[in-house]
Amino acid sequence: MSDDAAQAGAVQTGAAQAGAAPVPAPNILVVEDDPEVRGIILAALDAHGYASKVATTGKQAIALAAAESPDIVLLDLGLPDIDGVEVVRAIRAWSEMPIIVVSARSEDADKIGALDAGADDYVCKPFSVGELLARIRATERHLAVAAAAKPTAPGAAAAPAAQASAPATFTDGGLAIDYVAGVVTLDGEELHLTPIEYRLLCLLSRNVGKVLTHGYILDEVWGRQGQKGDLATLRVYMGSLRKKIERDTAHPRYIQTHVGVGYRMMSV
Amino acid sequence: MSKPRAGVEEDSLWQRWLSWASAWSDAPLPRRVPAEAAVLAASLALATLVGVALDRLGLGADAIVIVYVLSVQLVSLVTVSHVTCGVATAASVALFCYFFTEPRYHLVARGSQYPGTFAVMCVVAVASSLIAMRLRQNARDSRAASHMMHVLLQTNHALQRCDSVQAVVGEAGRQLARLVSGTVVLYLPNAAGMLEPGALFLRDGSDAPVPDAGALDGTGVIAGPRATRQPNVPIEAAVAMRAYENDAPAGSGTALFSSSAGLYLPVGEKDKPLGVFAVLGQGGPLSAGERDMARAVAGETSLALGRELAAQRREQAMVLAKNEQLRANLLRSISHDLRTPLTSISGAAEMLLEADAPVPTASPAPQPGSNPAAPAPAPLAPERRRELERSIRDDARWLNATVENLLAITRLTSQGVHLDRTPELMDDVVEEALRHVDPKASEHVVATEPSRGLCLVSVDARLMVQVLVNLVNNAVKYTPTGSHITIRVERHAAPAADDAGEKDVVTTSVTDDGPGIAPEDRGRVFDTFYTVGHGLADGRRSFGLGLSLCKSIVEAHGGTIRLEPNEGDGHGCVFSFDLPACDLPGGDGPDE
Repeated sequence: MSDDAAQAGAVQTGAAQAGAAPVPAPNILVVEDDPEVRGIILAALDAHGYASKVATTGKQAIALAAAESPDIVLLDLGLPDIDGVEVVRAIRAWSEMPIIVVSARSEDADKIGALDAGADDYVCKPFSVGELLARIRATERHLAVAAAAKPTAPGAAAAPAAQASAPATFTDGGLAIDYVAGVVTLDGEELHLTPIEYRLLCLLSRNVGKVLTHGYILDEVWGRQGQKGDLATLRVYMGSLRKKIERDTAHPRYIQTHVGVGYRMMSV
Repeated sequence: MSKPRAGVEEDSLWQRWLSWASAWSDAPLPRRVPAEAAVLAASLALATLVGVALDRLGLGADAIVIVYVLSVQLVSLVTVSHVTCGVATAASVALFCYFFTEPRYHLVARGSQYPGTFAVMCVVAVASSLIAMRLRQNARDSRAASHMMHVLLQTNHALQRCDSVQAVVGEAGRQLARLVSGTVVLYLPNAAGMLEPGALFLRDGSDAPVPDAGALDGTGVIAGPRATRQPNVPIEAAVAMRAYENDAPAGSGTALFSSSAGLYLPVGEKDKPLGVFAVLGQGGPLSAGERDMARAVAGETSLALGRELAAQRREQAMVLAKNEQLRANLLRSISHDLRTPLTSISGAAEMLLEADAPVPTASPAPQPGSNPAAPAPAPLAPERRRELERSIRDDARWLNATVENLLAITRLTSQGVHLDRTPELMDDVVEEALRHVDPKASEHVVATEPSRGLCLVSVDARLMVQVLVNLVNNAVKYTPTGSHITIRVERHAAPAADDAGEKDVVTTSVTDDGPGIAPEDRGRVFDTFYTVGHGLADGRRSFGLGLSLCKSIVEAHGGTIRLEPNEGDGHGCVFSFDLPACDLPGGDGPDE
């Protein structure tokens, strides 16, 4: 969390979606049934200039997400009526809007289920207000990056790694990937990656900002080759990839590990 | 028959003779007939020679008759069958008649006294041979009884040395196999409650593995191991099942399934047999004596099993009681640990609320000193207010850390040894842990050294993160602001003390350069509820829970945790733990 907090920059409002009028501050849909927690979240969002809508049940959340098309959804997994994972699935059926899942730590499996269903990020309860705001800012940055990379309106493609409309290059801080040439450079120097490391990096970079679960990565990187990958192998390849792209492995900038969940590429 | 051990019972010539004679009685008939004929011929020839000598000396026929009677008695002492004795009696009368009655060298006796002499000779020879045979029979019985006592005593001693149910059953199986010089199969109930062969004991005192159940179905026998040239072992699970259900012997020599090959003896506590021993003689059914002995050994085994099971139950009860005690201590400590920060939080919140409360305007302005019970709250100084707010936040964080530990304890105790293991790089675990350490750690210099080697371990990731969080928080808590905390991860070969294969270990250490821990306290930091400088934690908040939890988690993963002084900096301490390293399946790691 301190990583995110450390990167706390100015609030960006560049999440303009093509076709929609630019909004002065992101509109956030808060789905939380507990009044105390909801009160704190709303107060924090208000204090930092975000506009927010509130839903207290899953059904209400789906309806509001459709009606208001918020920029970011903050979704508590433990809802009184339907499973939070179902809410993620319902929203993903028509929209790519970023969803940040809020879960108690005892709900590990639900968390992974929500990420696999298409959620972008998660925050564990109890969270600090600073951590929550940092996540929202990070999501805004990803939105900006995505908007810059895809000047056309995001299509209805629901698959997170849709490669059809993928851009030809990716730039994130000192890291640059030329997907066409298959070349990766770090601060101008070319990196020598093994084929699997390259595939891992491509997968992460195409889903920048999203936490990708182990199962998803294994399916995408190994499953597509008709091979069976396992967690230990993934760990080791990821470890060696990170050694190559992180200048300081103790404080990684580009790829975050989420133990028990997966990996995420940060937009620096 | 097993050979009696020297010095145990054979101490006199007579006893040795008896044992030899009784052993001889058990020899098979084809071997016995020629030997008995030889004994018969030799003793009669000897008697005749003595008779001739006596005759030359001029002694009368009476003396010669006694010599022949003696020879018949000698024959019946050695030989077994009545036929031999009868033949010996008849032959001695015939020889006497041939050699020593007039006319000599004819089977005719002239003289009125001879028919009487022959009759008396016959009667005396038969009677004395019967007495000799009875004598030998008694000797044989007593020998069998003493052998049985000996075997039982030996079994009893052997069983008493066993310290587990498995050891008792195994020893009993080996004893039974040795006793009957045959094969013993132990049938044990499977998950479905049906009996199947669980172990095989051979007559040379060795165990043999039982082939897969699949291999048994087709043939109904276990093939004898080729090396030991054992006969095939028939599998009669139905008989074993009957013995098991009735908790009574079945099979050959009993009323149930008397035609089966083996004797089936249930062992275990009364009405709750653990399993059934199938005792199979070598090349034929067991003799009555062997059956008795096998039953006696089975009885002895059941007694030993009963003792062992009772001891186990006592031990379980003690462990349960100890766990209860631990649980009570834990609850006491936890409620204390939770209540202290809660008191502080609610106290601070109350003070803040009170300070912000609107001054009641309805009440008359208080006269100075007239109502000391309800003084107007003094406005809080800004720095005092911030202090209260910070203490609320810190205590809430501390409560959260405690709750995390409690969750880890619950995971550990509810899962027992079944941890939710996944392969993890220790580096990732360290990285994750650093995201969860006490925010006060930012006042310390926390550094991570790059790992050395492939530090892949199979762990329950959340529990292992908790270990590191606790170790770092502990270092933060007990070192002054600005101290250096260093985390190192490296893989190396296991210490030489552990020679169980060449297995690498991954060592993770948390080093600080704080004041360190006194040598007398080092051994106890991992004890539950122990905080240094306070004995048993009761006066202040303990993180004693944290370190003892670290120890439990690391040990549940088959690792070890220890505390050493920080030699490098001269002060401070090093907490480090070893975990068994993993390798990649197939070893197809990325090229480095």
